[in-house]
Amino acid sequence: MKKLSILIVYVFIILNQTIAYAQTTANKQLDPALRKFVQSEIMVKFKDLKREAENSVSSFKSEMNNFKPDQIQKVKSGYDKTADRFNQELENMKMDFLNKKKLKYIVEFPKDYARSLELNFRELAQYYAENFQQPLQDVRESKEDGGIVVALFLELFKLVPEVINHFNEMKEMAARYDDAYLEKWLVTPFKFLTWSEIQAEAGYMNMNNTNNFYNNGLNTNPYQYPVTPDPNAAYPPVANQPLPSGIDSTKTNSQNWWESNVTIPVPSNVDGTAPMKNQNAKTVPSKPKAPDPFAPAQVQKDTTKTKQVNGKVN
Amino acid sequence: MKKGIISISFIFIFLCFNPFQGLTQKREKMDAALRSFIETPFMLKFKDLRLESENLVLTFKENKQNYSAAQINRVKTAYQKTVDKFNVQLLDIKADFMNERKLQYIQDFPEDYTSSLTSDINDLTSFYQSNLQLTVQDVTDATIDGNSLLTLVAELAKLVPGMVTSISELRSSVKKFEDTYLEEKLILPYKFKTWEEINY
Repeated sequence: MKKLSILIVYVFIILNQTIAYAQTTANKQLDPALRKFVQSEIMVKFKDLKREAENSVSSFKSEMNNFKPDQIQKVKSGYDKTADRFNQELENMKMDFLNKKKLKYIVEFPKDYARSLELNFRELAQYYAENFQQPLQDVRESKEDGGIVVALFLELFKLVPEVINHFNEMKEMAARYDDAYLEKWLVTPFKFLTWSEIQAEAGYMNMNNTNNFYNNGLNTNPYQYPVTPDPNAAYPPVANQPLPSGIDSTKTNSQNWWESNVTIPVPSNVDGTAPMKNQNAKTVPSKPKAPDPFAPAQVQKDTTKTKQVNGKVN
Repeated sequence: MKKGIISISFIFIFLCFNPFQGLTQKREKMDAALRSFIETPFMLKFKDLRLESENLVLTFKENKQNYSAAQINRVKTAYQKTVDKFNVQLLDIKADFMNERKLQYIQDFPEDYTSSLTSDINDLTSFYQSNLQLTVQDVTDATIDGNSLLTLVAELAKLVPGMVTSISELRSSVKKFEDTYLEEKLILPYKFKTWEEINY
């Protein structure tokens, strides 16, 4: 009896650890079905839209000294409201993935879900045009026509039915998704940044401009660090300062580093040589490479394919 | 014991040979549920739409001597294509009423069904505008503008939420409807007529 109890306890511990390990692994790795979804055309278009919107804000911020505070406030609130709407749509999508009952229905009645998603996107397009694009055009006196965004939205509408196929594929895997996992892989990479998170486009910026109040990156002390900084410490570049050439200022922290083509800057000495390796420093085991959600999914051998017979067509 | 068995058998036989009672009750339930649905502003507007479209065709037909055969044919084709779409929408609603799972889905996630239906109605609006309205305006030199019909379709989209609420409610009394019943009560009174059927 005692042996049996010990055995049960052992089995329980092993099971617990296995489950914990499986959950940790699941959280670290991007499941192929979800990977396929985040790489899908529709999500790529969604991200393009996010970039376009952020880019518009970024350019606007770099010429803010030409506008009055109330004009800036109009564009700022318009953008933030619009970004909120888009982010809400992402949240809704996440909630749908987490709702097993809903997933079942989506697979059962795909047309309804696709149509409802399409309507949501159309409403988003209208909201974008009315609340962000229009004020921006008014303030800039139509310097921006928004043609790219309209084209992106049109493509987005066409791609909606494709989403259903992904939901179908994910139905089985969705049981393993939890809120944190979807937040990491589905929401964070696609989430629209807030106005204050977007840096101005690299280039000239009038530092005497009082309108800089609206750009949270700029204060009297541009660094959020002590006024007399440690000369040996390295600080990140300040917002609204011209960035070194070759770095896209619109790349934001919501973008994954593995998406950008910019190689991670390696610290170098003044003469350009690589810094000496610190012999005293403890060697830290290299971290496993972050999974790339935009890398092509592994192609599985299609066994359903029939052999092509080369026949002459008369 | 013997008496009990005999009386149970009687009840069983009575129930077996008296199915009409159950059917009548079922019919009454369906009637009450469907009545509340067809009295929704959405369905009333849908009927207005049907009548208005017939009115448009009648007005055109009255003056058909002013138009060439090709022009009449253009309007006829545009009308037929447009009302076909509306009739398909009506048949879709009927199919949903006959699907127990779908009714359950509507009850569980009414917002999704509302958005889906609103999307469909918006498509119908665009289809009407770019087909029937455009053709009629073009052929009649805007003597018939078709704007009243457009207003009705646009209003229809706004009435979808109320209609979906009604479907969710009726599901609690009726799990699903029968084909012949819906054909008689939902399709026939609301179906858009064909070009040939519209006459004084």
